[in-house]
Amino acid sequence: MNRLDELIAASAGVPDGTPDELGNARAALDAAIVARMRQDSPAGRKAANRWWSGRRGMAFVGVAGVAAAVAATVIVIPSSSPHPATSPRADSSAKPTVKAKAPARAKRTATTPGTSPVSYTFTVASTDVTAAYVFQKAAQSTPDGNAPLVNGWPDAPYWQTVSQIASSTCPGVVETSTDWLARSGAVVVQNVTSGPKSSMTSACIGPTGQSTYPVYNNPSGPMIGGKIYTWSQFSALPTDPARLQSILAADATVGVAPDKGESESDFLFQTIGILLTSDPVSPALRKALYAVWAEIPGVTVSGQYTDSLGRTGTALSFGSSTTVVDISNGQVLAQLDGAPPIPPGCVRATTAGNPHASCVVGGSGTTVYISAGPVSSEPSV
Amino acid sequence: MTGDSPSDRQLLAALPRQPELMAVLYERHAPAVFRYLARRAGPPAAEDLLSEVFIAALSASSRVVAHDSGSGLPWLYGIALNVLRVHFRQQRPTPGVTRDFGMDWEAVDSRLDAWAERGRLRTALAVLSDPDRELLLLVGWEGLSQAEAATALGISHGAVRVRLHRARKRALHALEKLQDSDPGSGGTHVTTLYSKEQPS
Repeated sequence: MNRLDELIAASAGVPDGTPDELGNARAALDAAIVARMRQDSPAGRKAANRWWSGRRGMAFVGVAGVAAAVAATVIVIPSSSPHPATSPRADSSAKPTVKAKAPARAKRTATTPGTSPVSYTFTVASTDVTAAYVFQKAAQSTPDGNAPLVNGWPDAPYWQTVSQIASSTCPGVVETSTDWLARSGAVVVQNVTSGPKSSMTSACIGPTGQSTYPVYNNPSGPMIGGKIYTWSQFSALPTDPARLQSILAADATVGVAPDKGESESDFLFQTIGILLTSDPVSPALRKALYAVWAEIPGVTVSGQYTDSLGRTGTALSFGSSTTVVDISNGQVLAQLDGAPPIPPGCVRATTAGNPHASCVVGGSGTTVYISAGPVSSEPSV
Repeated sequence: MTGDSPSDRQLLAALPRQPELMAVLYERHAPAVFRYLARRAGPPAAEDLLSEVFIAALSASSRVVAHDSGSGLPWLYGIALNVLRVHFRQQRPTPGVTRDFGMDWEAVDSRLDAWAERGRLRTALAVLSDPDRELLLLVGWEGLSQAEAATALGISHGAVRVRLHRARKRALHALEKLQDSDPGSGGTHVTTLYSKEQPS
C-alpha cells in the first residue's frame, strides 16, 4: 500500500447510522412514496393507502429485515430487465461495411471539441486480419523520429490530448476533456459537458446547469505503475520491445492495482493504451509499445469502427476492454468497454452477402480520442 | 438471490410502476449511502441528506438500470453525489475559506489523527478535478470496482480506468513534491499548490 492509499484508508472510517437516524430518513421517504403513488392514478391511491397502512409503525429494519419489508407490498417483477443505455439497435441506414483489411485513410476533419456531441458508430465488419497484422501495420505507419511532426516535437513545450466521453446513462450528454501536459509537470485540464438540459438530472453526473468544470494547475507526468516519469525519463525508456515489456510488466501492478477480476495481461493491455493516448510518447517509443502490445497473447480483432469525424479504425479486444487503432497512422481512436456490443439478430459477418453484415450500434459509454500530440501554445487559465 | 428476496435489478426494473419498492432498496442500501454522505459531509449532515437521496432516486427511477453486478448502489451513489453538491452550494460561505462543493474538510480532518496527515490528504486530493476526486474516493472509500464506479459517475469503464490512472498519478506526484519540499509538514502547502476556480 502506498502513501496515497494509506491516507485514503485512514480517512475512510465513519460511524454507521443509528437506527434513529436511518428511521427518520425512512419516514420521509415513505411519505414521498405515498405521495408518488397517489398522484399516479385512482388505483394508485388505493394501493398507496394499502401500502401505507401496512407500513405504519415499522422502523428501519436493515438488511436482515428486507424480506419483511418486501412482504409489506406485492411485487410485480418483469420477466426481463430493460437496459436502454446499452440496448443495441439495428440501423438500416448503416454505412456500408468496409473490409478491415484495407481501411480507408482517415479523413482529417476539423472539430471544435465540446460544441456539439460527436456521434459514434461501431460497424461490425467482415475481417480476416489478425491482431498481429494490425499491431505491425500500426507500428509501421507511425511516423519515425525524423519526420516533420507538428509543432516542434520533440522540443514542444506541451503535450495536448483531447478526448470525448459519451455518457452511458444520460442520453446526449458528452464530456470533452482537453489536457495540456507541460514539460515542467504542470497540467491544465479543461472539461466541458454538453448536452440537452433535460439530461442534466440528478441521475446524471454533472451538477444541474453546470457545463464547465474547473481549470487548474498541478504537477504531473507520465506514470507506469506507481512511478511518475519526467519527460526526459519517459523518452529514455528502452525502445527494444523485450526490455520495454519487462519494465511495463514489472511496474504494471505497482501503485495502481488491477481492478477486480482483471489479469495482469489485461492490465498491461490497458496500460499501453493509456500511455498511447495520454502521454508524450515519442515515435520510437510508440512503435515499441505496439510491439509489446503484439506480444500479449489472446488479443482478437473484433471489427471495424467509424465515427462521425470520418475516421476508421480496427477494433482490438482483450479481456474487459476494446481499443480501436487507426493502422494508417498508428493513432488510438477509441476505447470501449468489453467486446463491441452486437445487436440482436446481427451476427459477425464472415462471408460477403450476409444480410446482417453491417450492424451499427450507439457509441454510448465510449471514450473517443480526438487528438493527441505536441502543441506550442500555452493554454489560457 | 433467493426467490423471497428480489435482486436490485428486479427492483429497479419494477420501480417505475411500483414506487413503493424504493423502500426495499432503502432497507438494503441506506447504511452504505449514509456512510457515503457522512464521509463527505459529516454524520449530522448525512442524517439530513439521506432521505433526499432516496427521494431524488424515486423521481429518477424511470431511467435507471442496475449495474452489471446487479447492485443498485452505484446508481444511488451517483445521486448522492449530486445531492451533496446542492447541499454544499446552499451552505453560507465562510470569509477567507475557499468553498468546496463536494467535501466538508473539517469532517474529513476529524477522522485523521495527525495534523500533518490532514494536510497531506488535502494536498493529494486538491490537485484533482471534482470528478476525478470523486472517482478516486468511490474506489478508495466506498470500495467500488472500477466498473461500479463507472455506473455511479455515468461514464464508461474505460473512461474510469483512464481517469483513475491519471488521478492517482497526480495525487501521488503531489504527495512526493510535498515530501521533497518539507518532509515534516503538509498542512500549509495546500493553498499554494492549488488555485481552483469556482464552478460557474
